[in-house]
Amino acid sequence: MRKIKKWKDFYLFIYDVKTTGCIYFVAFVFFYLVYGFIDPGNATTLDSWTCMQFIIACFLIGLGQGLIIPKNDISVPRILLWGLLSMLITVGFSEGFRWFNSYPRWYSLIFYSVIAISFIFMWLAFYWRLQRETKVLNDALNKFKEINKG
Amino acid sequence: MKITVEYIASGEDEIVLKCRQLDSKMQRILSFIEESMEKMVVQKGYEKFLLQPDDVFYVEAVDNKTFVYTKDAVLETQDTLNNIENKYYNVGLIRIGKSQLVNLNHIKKLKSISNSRIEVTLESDERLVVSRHYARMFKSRLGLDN
Repeated sequence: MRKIKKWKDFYLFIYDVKTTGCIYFVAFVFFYLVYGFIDPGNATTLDSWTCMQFIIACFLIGLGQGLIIPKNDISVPRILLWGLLSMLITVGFSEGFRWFNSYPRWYSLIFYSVIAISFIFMWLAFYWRLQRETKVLNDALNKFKEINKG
Repeated sequence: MKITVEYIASGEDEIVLKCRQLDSKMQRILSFIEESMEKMVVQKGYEKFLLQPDDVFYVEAVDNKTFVYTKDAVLETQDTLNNIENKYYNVGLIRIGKSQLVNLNHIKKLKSISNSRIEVTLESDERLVVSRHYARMFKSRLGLDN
């Protein structure tokens, strides 16, 4: 039974990692190809090898999120660590595999900034989560006090 | 179960429990009433007092001494934190850290903070923190499933 539970937990964990990775993958592809709209003279394409690199990088970012920021334990140092790791993966893959070789240099910097901003949004999720938990806690406290008074 | 409250103009307050037998439910009510009425022996300097446990805001153990904090006084007790926790659990005292207990009935508000901790603001505006270790127990006492 314990083995089945462990297997289920692992499956659900990988399921979450894949889902998170997919969201980052969509963002990567969008911001990689959007340059074609900014400069219509430059036709942007995504070859299958770069696409594969995107998938691996995004899976690693999703895996990092699952391991470093578990759902029940979001904290500022964890978000910082995951943000740093994710930026390292993004910049490492991009520079290592020369994703932006045919683009002007400023565009890769814009890409990094956009990805960094999306990581910063994680802070917002953290803040909202704390706010929601605070409301739940105070509602439960008031209920407890009412029962005790009654 | 029928509950009757009779108001009296004078004389001592009295609680009478009427039951066919002292079953577990009645035992619980009885122990709750007894614990609520069992006063805490505290001292300030050389003077000793009997304190209503309801008046306790929080309890803290510092250097092998146990201090009881009320709305406007800090008193010392010879009792240990563990004993106080067990004796007055039904009054609303709950452990929030290795060396602190808080009375849930005197909490003004709660705030969820980072690292799964909870900030407690008392009616006296003093602030305490429920450590990550005790946060789960604290939530469960409030009827939350974590």
